[in-house]
Amino acid sequence: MTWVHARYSKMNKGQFKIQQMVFIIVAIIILFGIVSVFFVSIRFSSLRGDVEDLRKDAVLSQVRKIAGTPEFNWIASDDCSSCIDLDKVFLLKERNTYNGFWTDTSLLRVIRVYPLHENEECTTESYPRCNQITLVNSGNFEAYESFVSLCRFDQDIKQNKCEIGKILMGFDSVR
Amino acid sequence: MKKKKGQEEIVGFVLIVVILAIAMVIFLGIKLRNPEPSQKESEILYQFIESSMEQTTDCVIRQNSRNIDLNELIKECHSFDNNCLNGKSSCEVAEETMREITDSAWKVGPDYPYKGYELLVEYNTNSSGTEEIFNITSGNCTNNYIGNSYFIPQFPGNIVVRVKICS
Repeated sequence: MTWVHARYSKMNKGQFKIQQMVFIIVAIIILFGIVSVFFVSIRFSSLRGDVEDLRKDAVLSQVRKIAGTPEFNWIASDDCSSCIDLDKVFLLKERNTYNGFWTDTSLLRVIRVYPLHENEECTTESYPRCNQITLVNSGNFEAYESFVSLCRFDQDIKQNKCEIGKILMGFDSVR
Repeated sequence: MKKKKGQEEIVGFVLIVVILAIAMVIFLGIKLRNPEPSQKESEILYQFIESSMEQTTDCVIRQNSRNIDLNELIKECHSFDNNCLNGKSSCEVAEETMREITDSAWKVGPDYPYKGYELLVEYNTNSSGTEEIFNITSGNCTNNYIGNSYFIPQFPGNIVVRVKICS
């Protein structure tokens, strides 16, 4: 009887030890699991930001490509891919034949960044002392902007003159 | 004897927890104390510098010649620093024009999304290293910024325009 009791007690103690070890291992695994989840979530959040930045850069490059189209490009200089002909853009605004030409665009606007003048939207009276030319403006849009050079022949200094500006393009936004 | 063994086990367990806690504290301490400066190369900043270099300035260097572009003015400033016909030095006009363009394009301050900017124009050669032409700063710059550089070839090296916009 004493022998059976001793054996039973020994087995109980062994089981308890195994249980204790399993508990510690499980606790450590959970701890490492929590740390890993924390670390991975931080890494993935920054990755999502990086993807968003790359996507934005790609859109900006696309927006800038419009500066190279025949309707916008400045042909007086061979080595300026970012230059647009402001006189041409202003004339486009006045031409009805270009209505509906930029079908995928809800907003197409050229803005002067520096130096700024008093008049906002360009009209036949205010041009070229004005700050923006709007070619398309309709509906809801998500807008992207890209820096360009606004070039034209300046009568005051009798030479070509370029100033920094932006092209603003808006695309239909999903509600 | 039984009590001693139990105590040993508790000490072992506590030791593991303490080691893990210390490792965690050291890791977090290093991470939080020295945040790495995070520069993201920005397409819009490259476009900004490239377009601003085409800006026609008020500076005419010689009688009956034309108003020169900002990139030519920076080259002039670095090579000769001649005066413009209006009496100002080419470096002065280049710096002033660049500052006005940057201030117009990027509104910075505590109330804006961008807190500050740094613009550095320098001349780099492989042989003689780096020579600063001018630098412009505004607002406060922290370790979190977007930036980009633009190279203007100027034999035997390059003029580099670096811009950082801090958020």
